Amino acid sequence: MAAEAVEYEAGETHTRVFRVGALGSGWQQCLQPRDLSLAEEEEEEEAAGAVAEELGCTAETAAELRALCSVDTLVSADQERDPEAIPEDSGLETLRFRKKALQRREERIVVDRACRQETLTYEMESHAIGKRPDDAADLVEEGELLLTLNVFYPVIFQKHKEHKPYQTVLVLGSQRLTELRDSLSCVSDLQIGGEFSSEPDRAPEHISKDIYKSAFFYFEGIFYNDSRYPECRDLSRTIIEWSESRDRGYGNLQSVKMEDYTFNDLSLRIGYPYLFCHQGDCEHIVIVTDIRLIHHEDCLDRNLYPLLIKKHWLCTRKCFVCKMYTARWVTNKDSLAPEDPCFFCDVCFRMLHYDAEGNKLGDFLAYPYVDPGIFN
Amino acid sequence: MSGVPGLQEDCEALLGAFQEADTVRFERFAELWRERRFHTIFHGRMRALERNKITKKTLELAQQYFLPPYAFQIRVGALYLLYGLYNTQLCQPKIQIRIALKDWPEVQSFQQDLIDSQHYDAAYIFRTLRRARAFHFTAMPKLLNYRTKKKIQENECKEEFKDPSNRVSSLITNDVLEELMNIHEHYQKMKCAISADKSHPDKALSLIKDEFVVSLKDIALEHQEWQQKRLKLLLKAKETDEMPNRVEEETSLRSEGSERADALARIKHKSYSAVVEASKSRRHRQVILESSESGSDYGKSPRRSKKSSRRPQPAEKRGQIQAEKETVTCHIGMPVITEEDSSDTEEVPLSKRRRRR
Repeated sequence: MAAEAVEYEAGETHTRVFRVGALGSGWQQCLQPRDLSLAEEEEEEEAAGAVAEELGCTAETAAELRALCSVDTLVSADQERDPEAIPEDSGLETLRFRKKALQRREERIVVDRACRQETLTYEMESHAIGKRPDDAADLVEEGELLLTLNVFYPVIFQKHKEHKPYQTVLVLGSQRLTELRDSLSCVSDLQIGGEFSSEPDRAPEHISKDIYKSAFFYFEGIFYNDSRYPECRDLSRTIIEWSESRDRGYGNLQSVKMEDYTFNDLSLRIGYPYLFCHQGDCEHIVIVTDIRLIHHEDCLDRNLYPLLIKKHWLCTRKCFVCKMYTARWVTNKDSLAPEDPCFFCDVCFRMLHYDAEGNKLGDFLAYPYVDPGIFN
Repeated sequence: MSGVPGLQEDCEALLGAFQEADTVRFERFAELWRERRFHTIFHGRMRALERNKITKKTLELAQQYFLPPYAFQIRVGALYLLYGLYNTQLCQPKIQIRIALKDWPEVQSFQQDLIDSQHYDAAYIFRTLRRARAFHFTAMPKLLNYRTKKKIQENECKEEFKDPSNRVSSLITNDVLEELMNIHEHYQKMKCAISADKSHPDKALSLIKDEFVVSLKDIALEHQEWQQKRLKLLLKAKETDEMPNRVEEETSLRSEGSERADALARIKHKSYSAVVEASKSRRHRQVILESSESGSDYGKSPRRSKKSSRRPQPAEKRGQIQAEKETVTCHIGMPVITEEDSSDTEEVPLSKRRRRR
């Protein structure tokens, strides 16, 4: 009896709710161990007898088939060995368009070379492909599910209104939610609270990540709260109380512990936006874009998951004065600065705002600044 | 994801030629493939990143033809096409073919059909792909990123590729007819049994037409014949290139559609254009005339910043039957909270506010 398959919901933008683990068992029921195997590529030729048995034909037919259906019949022996060149007399529409695009590119670009963003993107996508761990205990199991999640950055800039930038993370079905939470890097975690204009040398004591440890995930009406540390608070309590205070049409919202759940336990929709909230008010939208079975060519080292495969490149904000170094300070209401807020690197900040003895010059408020591009 | 330009035409040309060849032999397909030198479809100066993307899209397109509602021959052609594309791709490591769990039973029954009808080459090829672990076993065929605003280009698959969807014959199958016949006979016998004259049912009991099962079968057959005739006409029309006819049809459809849309737009405009201007003290809560034309959504979508402009779209656009449609997003939004401030007012563009003063 086949398990119920995942289906689209109205509009074809996302699916209906289903339990992630059920997909894994659904597929395992349909497939054979051969399909699920993660062993490395084998090159052995199978006996004609095995083929004959499965297809219900004679052994001679099987041998014939092997010759008839080989890949060599698709590529004529001599021509087109060079994949760079587009054949002159091709009848394919695709190649016609591609040629035009290439010609246009040749006319407009002086040096056709991968820019560093492209190199970075490609590296991130492919650096972990095919990696196997040294220790066999770290090998991903067969039949494991691989989820692809898009975690969006909290909106910071105006220019991100149309296409919100996101990072793509791969997680295994058997991993806990807390492992994903630990792997997500957000600039708000590194913020240092406090105004330091009077004592710029005083090293900041804690970054926000250490002070505010609470976080939650929201999937399908359930809040998964991080409760591993004593400082963690239930951020979702406010929302639950708000929703229960009147009939707001949200149904029953629940709150559970994040560390008790793996991705296989969750019930969710593919392609539907959910929420990750930390630091009290830093909210990231999370969308599960794909779930599939692990394949022998994927990264098979458990320790590398959750694996970041795509990240948005954010330009770092440079110091207003030297335009060279990344900004480390931001000032408000600064009588010495031309704009509000104004960004400075450490050296320029001290040179402008403090005299040789270290006395504060002028009137201003200064805060340590962590640039969002710090993760580039 | 935007498609690869020209790819759909090339695939359809190849599959169309295969369909015309009226065979399911791989040899024939390989001939057609070699003629077109289809393996060059991956050629062209591309760096690794772009090559990966293009290969993924190519395999995704070809995979669509592998599933119903396409005709059997097209599906076999698509299987060969996938085999060819998978093996001639230039990406290292190879890009896999995605199959969704919901489609797997059909794929299995397709494979069984092939084996039963002794199409050994097709069955062998599928088996080879499977042994090579060329498939990614996924939940859904495409990656879903909640792109509600994206114009979805309806994949206009050719009519000839599809199996003529005969809903009537799928409902009134032979089994159903047989069953009906049996029940009908049983019913007649029961009527006879309780009547005075054991050989004839009473006049008072004749409530249905005796011959209705036969006439049902005739009607179903008639429908099937009509459908086949219509398909032939369509093919003939395409061949003889009766463009003026088609254009007329299209324009008449279009004008019908736009007439109705015009009327609708007029009525809506009349009823909704009366917006009372609020007093100065309540100006911040001024009701904004939102156009109900396609392009704005009603419910709160999670990404409000993506709302399109509020300009009412011209009515003609709605009438046009185009392949590109915007998906309707209205009902997917969160439930609208009534007692709160309608947050639409916060988004009143500054210029509008100034005008009212």
